[in-house]
Amino acid sequence: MAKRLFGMETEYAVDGRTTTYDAVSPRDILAWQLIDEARLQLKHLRDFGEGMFLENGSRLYIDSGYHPELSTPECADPWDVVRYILAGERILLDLAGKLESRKPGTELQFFKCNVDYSGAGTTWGCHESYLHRMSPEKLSEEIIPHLVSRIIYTGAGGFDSLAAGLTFTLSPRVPHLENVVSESSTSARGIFHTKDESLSGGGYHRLHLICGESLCSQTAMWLKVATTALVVAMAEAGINLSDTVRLVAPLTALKGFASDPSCKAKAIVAGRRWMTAIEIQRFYLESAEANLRAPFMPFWAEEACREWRSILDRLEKGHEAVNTTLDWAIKLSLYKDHAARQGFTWESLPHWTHIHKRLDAALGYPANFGANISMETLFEENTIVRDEARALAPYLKEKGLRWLDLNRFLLLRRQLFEIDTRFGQLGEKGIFSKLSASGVLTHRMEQVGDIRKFVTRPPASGRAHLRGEFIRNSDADTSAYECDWQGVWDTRNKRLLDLSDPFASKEEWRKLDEKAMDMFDLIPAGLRERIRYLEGARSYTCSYANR
Amino acid sequence: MRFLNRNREPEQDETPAPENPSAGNLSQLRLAGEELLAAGADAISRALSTDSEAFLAATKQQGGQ
Repeated sequence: MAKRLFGMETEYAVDGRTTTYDAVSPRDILAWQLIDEARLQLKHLRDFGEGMFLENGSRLYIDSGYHPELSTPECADPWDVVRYILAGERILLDLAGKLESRKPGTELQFFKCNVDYSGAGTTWGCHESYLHRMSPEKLSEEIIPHLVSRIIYTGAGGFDSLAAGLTFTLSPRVPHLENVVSESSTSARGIFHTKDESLSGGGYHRLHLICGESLCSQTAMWLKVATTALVVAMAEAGINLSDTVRLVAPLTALKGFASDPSCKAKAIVAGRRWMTAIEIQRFYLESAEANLRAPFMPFWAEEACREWRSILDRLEKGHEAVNTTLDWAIKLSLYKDHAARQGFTWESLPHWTHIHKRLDAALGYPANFGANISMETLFEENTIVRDEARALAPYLKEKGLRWLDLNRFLLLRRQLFEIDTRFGQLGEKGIFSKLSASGVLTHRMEQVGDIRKFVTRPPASGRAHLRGEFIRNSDADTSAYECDWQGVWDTRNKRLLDLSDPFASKEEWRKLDEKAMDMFDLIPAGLRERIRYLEGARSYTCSYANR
Repeated sequence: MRFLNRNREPEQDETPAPENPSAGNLSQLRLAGEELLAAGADAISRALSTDSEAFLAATKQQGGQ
């Protein structure tokens, strides 16, 4: 059985409020206060930036847009990925509790979501990393149909945040993907991200995926990693996957699959055949099943195939068959019910969306706005929107809608956007957390077990184990150390714990001198300069301690 | 090794009409669905603020990766 390593990075939305809804601090200050608190509360080694590695092997830092980000340690099985994501959330909540106790009357909130519904049109990420040793370009061909079709179980569910009205999507990240293949991660994002920063020696590559989303369901998190790691394993072993399911238009297919909760939408594949996302997924699954005993498959492959087949079989039966298990399907059921409680049939929402888009367009607003639209604006004298409202009158009549309900539709839109944000709110106030606690969901993966111990315990093997154990056993004063995915630098004793081998199993320190450093082609030039600087035995001061 | 960004795709022919969805284990699914909706409505009523517009404005986020 082959060993495989992978991990997940999760960016969280963060907000701090008083009970009267006043902002506690600007977002950037808030994010750094969190890091300061982490420095005080958590055993850690600082990284080469302002973040830190923790004793469970994870990394905590602030990423673009002031999003607190937790990277799991390098994990060897999908249960560990779920464990360390959830352990990271416990860490964030504990830190929030400490910060709140310093400022009574404030509340720090984290949201596990990937899009902003205020009209800003922004998105942030949940990235996956998979270690491999094949040509990244070849891997892109083999894996793109999987990435496109897996959203039927990996989609977070929600709404198109770039459009007027209310358009449910299996994956709110999808409207933010503009390319099939892209090197960018902050704009013009692609299904396949070409970043290949291996963070390892030994000829490894790192597949870095940015098309996925943060999930609440343990089953969905587990399947996302397990199935994708199996596809990487098969591609790396030279199994031809893409000939049968190569999509003619992957981005179009992705958008088509994302917009169809029935999972019956089809996309054209090579050979002018049409396939559903389930059919494409079944092709990958059957390829994995056919290779279960192959030496390149990991020990957990059989269980992964069993879970994979089970979810596809359930998806065939419709979204109700997975609406206690998968994020998007849970949301779809709840949102339909909420709309009905507000007096709107789900079927009427596309009509209201059409109207909203037409009015927005008449006003010349960007598509994601609409805040200035209201029923009252329709009756203002001599306005363009009034003309458009007149033009829309036959459409309303045909669909059985009334202008009088426009404001209620807009209220429903805002409510559903808030509900979607609060669905993944960390802690007991989150909607998913409440549902999970009430026992109505069937999302847990039993083997994940008690999360508490993974807050301080690193994975059982690989360099993450060595890194975490070193941090666990280190003295209170760790100011002489700097840490990176590839090593721990001891600037006082001028030595390096070389972790460039991701599967390293022994703690072996090497003397850190100029000659040795030059031999380390694994250390990027920038880091080498940094090490030379650190050798000046600077005293570390927390630059944000007084914020 | 270099990748080219790709953003143009050939247009798909018209998509065939979806087939009728099938359903199984209806009574079990219905029961689980009813429990979900009851718990969901309760969770939503507790979580939802009285002013969603203010909530969305207050939690506005900058873009990340």
